[in-house]
Amino acid sequence: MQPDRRRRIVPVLILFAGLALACSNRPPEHGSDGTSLPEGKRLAVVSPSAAEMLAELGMLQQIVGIGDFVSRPRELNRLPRIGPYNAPNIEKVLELRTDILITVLSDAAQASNTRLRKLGVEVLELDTSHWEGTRKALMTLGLRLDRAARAEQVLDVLDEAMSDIRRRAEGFDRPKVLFVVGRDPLYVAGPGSHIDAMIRTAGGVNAAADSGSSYQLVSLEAMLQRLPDVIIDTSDNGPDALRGQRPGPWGTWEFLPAVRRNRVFWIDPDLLVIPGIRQPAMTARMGRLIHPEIFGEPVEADFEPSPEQGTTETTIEDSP
Amino acid sequence: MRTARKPLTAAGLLWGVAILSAVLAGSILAGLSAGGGEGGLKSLLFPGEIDDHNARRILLEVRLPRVLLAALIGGALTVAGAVFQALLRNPLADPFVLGVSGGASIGSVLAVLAGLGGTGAGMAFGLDGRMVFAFMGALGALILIEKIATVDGSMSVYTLLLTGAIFNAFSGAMIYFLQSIASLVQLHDIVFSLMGHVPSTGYGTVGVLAIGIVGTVLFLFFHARDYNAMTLGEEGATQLGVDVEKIKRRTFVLGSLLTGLAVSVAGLVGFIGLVVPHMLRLILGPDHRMLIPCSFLGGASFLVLADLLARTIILPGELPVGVITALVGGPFFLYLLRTRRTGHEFR
Amino acid sequence: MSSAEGTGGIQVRNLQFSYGERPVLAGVDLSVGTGEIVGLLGPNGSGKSTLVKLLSGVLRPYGGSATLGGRELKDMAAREVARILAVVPQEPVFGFSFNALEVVLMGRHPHLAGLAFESDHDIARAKEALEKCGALEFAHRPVLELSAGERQRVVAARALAQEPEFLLLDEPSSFMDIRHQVELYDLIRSQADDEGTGVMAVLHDLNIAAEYCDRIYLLKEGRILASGPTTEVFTYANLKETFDTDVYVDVNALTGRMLVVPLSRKRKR
Repeated sequence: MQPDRRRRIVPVLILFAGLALACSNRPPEHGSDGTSLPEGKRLAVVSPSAAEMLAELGMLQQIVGIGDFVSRPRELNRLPRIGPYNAPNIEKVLELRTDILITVLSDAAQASNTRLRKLGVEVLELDTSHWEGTRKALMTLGLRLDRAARAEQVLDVLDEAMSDIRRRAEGFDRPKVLFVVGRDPLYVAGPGSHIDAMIRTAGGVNAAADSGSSYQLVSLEAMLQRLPDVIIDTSDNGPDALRGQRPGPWGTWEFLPAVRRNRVFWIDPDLLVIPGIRQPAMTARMGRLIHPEIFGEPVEADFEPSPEQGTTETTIEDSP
Repeated sequence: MRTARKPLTAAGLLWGVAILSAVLAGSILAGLSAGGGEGGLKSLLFPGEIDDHNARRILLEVRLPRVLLAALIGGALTVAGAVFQALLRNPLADPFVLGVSGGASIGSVLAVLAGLGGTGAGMAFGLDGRMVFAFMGALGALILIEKIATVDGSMSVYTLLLTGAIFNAFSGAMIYFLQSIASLVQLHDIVFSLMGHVPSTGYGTVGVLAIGIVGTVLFLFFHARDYNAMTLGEEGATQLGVDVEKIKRRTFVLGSLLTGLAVSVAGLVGFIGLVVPHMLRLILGPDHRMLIPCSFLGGASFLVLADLLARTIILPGELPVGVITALVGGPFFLYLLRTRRTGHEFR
Repeated sequence: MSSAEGTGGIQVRNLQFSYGERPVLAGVDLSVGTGEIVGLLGPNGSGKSTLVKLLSGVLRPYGGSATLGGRELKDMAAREVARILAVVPQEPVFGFSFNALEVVLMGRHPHLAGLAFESDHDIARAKEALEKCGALEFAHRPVLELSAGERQRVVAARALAQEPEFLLLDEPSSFMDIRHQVELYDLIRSQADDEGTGVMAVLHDLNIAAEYCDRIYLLKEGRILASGPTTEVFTYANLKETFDTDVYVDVNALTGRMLVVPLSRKRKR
């Protein structure tokens, strides 16, 4: 029994679950621009958020291999897979003549990272588990790959989007939001998670703000007693998963404000729990769930990823 | 000096059961008195004084079923431990230590993979494919472990422990394997279902488990004198008129049923079947007519209290109850291993 | 003394048994009547313990026939057998902290129904049996804390508490000092004489056998080599053939019973 390890596994699982769903929707595409590579460093990317950043930086052409959990942008799916983030296939990385491996900051990956560095591969570890880390990661990539100006430009747009959301939510009451990651037993997003940060930015209060860690097994009784105004449930992920705005099983507790006012949302975790540069878009979605009077009512795309919503979900247009 | 223990009488049994029932009642009251919600028990006892509809509903629909479920699961695992111990003449034969729980967990995971595992919504029907699969997994594991650990008709303590440890490692690996072929959505269910956590389910599940577990325990209780004779070995028991094969078969099936039911609902909750029967033997003596009913009541009390701790010590967070039982049971297991050995025999 | 002809008692005809491919009993004929003590002697591995296990229902199935009180053993439930036949095993097994009295009370098991508790009568019988076996003084001590010899007395008491018509002893005195051996066999003797209990005893000690047994069976490689009253069976030739060992056989001048002394191979000229 290793509760700590399990607790840590949860966000990762959800991350993977979301990515896998996203992935299954999109069959690999072939030959969009041929196989010739422009001059420059050959990149292998294991981190899903970094892959999205490279797209924003216009570096897709230089990617030669991707990690098992990378699925966006979809053009990448035709590239060779180089294994999971914690244990990339070193032989494959070398075979692809990789110059730089871009990966997530993870204790589990330290051994293989050290090995790769000894073999002459540069390893960039990025901490994208929270918004500040994501911003820093984008700048790191920009500086390292000679796209600093573009990175700053992207960052400005993202920062502007974030502070716009923050500004618009200011001065309104702050509804209590319960963000459910697993329902039986009850797992919720706690303080320190990027979800907690998004709730605050979008003008809400996390009902589990005082729980011990970023993802926490919590007392159902305590959460009910706190009478959340909004419940966002990302726990239902079977083939017939509940989606949309409806009480679902939470309807049992008709005394909850969230149930009484029909503010229970069943959402694909991919649309909210995976950190990265989609965070402004996710925060805006969070705003629609928490404060429809400010950000407008949620739309269908807020509950389930639409098939055509492929490449990235950022506020920035791709520029040459 | 040891005080002389009188042979067990019906009156003695009634006293023991009465006292442990009182302990269980006290534990359930304690379990109901605290939790994440406030004012729970008071709202039930004095419904007029405190007009708190919500607290009352939380108490009746969240806390009470969970407390009852903890009682049933604790009782089931403890009785399973007690009868396995009688059969194997070994106080370390806990379903978790033996690897039977591991087998049950494989079954439970297979049920999830086969799409038969109820998620929160599925559990509302009471019955769940995981229960059946976990039972079969437990039984398969037990038969396998017994076959492997029996050398020349007897089972040495160390072979048994070693077999159990190896089997647990095997089932752990098996579960990693199953996880790796599971869809990512199922993976989520698997991780949660193995965590060692007493869920708060509907009364349907509580009812199904109550019937299954209490019925099984009563059935085993009626074999109590046979278990006494079984402590004289299979030969000795046969010579006293016990149909050993029948008892073994029934114990394997019913002990696995108890373990499977518990694991399918609460995941891996270890060591209760080790700690509670041992303490009861020290206090009440080894007679199974006393031990089996008291193990049910004592194990029930133990898990209700352990779950009370798990529910309340890091509020609003919760701990998996398996953490509490392992923290108590692990050192206890080592203590038993060090001190209770006399030659090749355990007592 | 009954010659145990007919259908009563223990009747064994052409009994065969094998562990897998290896035959252990290859057609044994034997009988034990009421009130007699029958000795079963033979070298290690000759099938003595197997015979005890077959007769007490531990091992089945078997070839040939074995009846208990006229009924074929393999048709009897363990419980029925245990009501008429008790065993004092060679290496008794115990578990947990049952005390001597509780272990002896287990001897009442075949006579009690379902979940029944032992009555005062049962407890009196158990204490009586403990007393007969000289084990009353440690009635309340856990059996696992007793010495091997003390445990064997407890087990003998358990067999008596079973109130059997027949008693099978499998080298019951192997861990006993000479005083307790004599006490035990005196007890068995009076059990046979006074209660009419039929006894089959597997023995290693030829002189104990000579002193207490009415009849002797010599068993070797799963077959009976010789049987009959001790005086007829205990001849140099029979014992030499059975044990592959030279012995000196004489009559005990004091008791008139046979006296057997083993001879060292080194002494042999």
